[in-house]
Amino acid sequence: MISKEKIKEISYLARLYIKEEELDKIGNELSSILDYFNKLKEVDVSNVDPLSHVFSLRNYTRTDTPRVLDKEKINKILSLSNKKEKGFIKINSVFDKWN
Amino acid sequence: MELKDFTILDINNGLKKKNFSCFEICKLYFERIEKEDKKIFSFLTLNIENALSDARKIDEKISKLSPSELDLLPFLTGVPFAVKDNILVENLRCTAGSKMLENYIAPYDATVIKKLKEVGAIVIGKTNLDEFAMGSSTENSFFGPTRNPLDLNRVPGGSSGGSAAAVAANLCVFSLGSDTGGSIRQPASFCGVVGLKPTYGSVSRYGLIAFASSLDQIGPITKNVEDAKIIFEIIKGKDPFDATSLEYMSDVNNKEIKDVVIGIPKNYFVKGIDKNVENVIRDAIKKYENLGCTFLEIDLPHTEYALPCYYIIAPSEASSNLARYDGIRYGYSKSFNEYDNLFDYYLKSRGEGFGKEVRRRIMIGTYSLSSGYYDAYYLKAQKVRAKIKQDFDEAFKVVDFIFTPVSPTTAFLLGERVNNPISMYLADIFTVAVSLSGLPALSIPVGYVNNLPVGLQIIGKPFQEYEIFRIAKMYDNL
Repeated sequence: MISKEKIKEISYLARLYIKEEELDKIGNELSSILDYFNKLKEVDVSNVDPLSHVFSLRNYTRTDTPRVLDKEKINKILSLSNKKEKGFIKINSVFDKWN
Repeated sequence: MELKDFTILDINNGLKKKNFSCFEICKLYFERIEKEDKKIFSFLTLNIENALSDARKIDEKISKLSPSELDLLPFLTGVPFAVKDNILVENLRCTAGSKMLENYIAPYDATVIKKLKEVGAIVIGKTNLDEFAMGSSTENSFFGPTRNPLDLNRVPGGSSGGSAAAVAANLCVFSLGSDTGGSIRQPASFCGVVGLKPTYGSVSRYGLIAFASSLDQIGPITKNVEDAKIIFEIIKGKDPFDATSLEYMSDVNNKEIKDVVIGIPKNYFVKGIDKNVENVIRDAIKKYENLGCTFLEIDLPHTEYALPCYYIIAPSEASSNLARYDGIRYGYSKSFNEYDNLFDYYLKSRGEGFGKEVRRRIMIGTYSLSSGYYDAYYLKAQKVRAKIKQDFDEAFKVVDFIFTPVSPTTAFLLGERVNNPISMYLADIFTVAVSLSGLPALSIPVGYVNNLPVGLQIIGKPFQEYEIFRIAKMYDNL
């Protein structure tokens, strides 16, 4: 069983607000899912390399030339944020009140 | 004129013979959606004005063609299609089924959309899905569930449930879905249509809202195998905007049917599978046997680990991919003024913008990747993934295809599994191993149990989509 504290810690890592009264329920759900994952303990994986990608990947490079977007495109992208100023997206100050 | 069960070729022939115009066809589809979709709720957004004006342009173009040019009218010109709402279509809302993106307007076309538009296909609307494609029933959509057109009390499957239901209900000619662990194949099976999950990397993911990047693929949902082939032909290929996409090197052997060997994994017909579903699949196998194929029982020893393996890897990748939804550049956000710091702002924007299943998976993924648990969960799952792929590599040394059911049951009732995550995850038990191994697989309808369709999954070797189409088409002629 995962503790309330652990659930809280994970939710902070994930930047997800979870209401105090939901912590137990989510803890229960996660615990039963993690129990199910324990099945993997049965598999012997000594000398097995982890597979993160099915086909061997290689890096593709391209020249770093700026793509010039037309004004219409820029406005389309900017219009998706809720606060902007002079062509920039505006947010609260990052350092002042950061805890 | 009445709207029939039109395939791509039907539309193409009709336009060539001038039996109808593209404008008329589009209008008929919108009328039908207006009438039928109240019950099914497969569409989230309709593209009526743009589609009709594009249709007029295409009609004008067609009217200027010489008879010989008309004869060569590309298959997809003027064909109305629907798009899962996690694939970007410029200037159309793209929600991913989430409150987070309720008001997001796509600023560009996904590569698959660009390619389909170039050959004249017409986007008529965006279809419902489980939020961020996380689910197997389309019940996890923020906007409400889609219903199975064959039985309105049942789910259409998921996560591409809207796309499969729209094709099954004749609300479009074909649709696009995305498949991460079965999200094209399983709804295709539940709705009695055809669905292709292409080889990983063969179709560009540029413009697909990312869920689990090492697994996600876009593919077609269609009324028959030929249509799936026509669409795959257009959307496949390397894209400079998706570094994981590959130059498509088709691997075709054109073996005669009597030389084809098909594997049946013995571990797929054990616990959990509905007896009636099994019988329908066995009947389909018998039909192929009568054609002269050889069937071979094969062993995929790590099958039972595929589901837990998938449900570690996919949420881990998702927790990382979904970190981009910070409430700042786009997406659901709280007002800055209410918060003292960014941390609280992130917590609340994300906590309120994401639904239950998405939050659950972000939590699982974050846990699996967090310090102290990484080796036991994520790294272990990646190693098990290697074993699962190895099983298939071994099997494909002796067989040409593998046949399995798509899902252990037919479409289940709405609400039946929604409160039990693990029982919901079990709907993907036959599809996730294929995804983890990057293989192509097609779902085709092969029969019914109590009037509900059953899909056969045809799994091929990497880049053997055309071989799969060839063998699947034979079923139509049986």
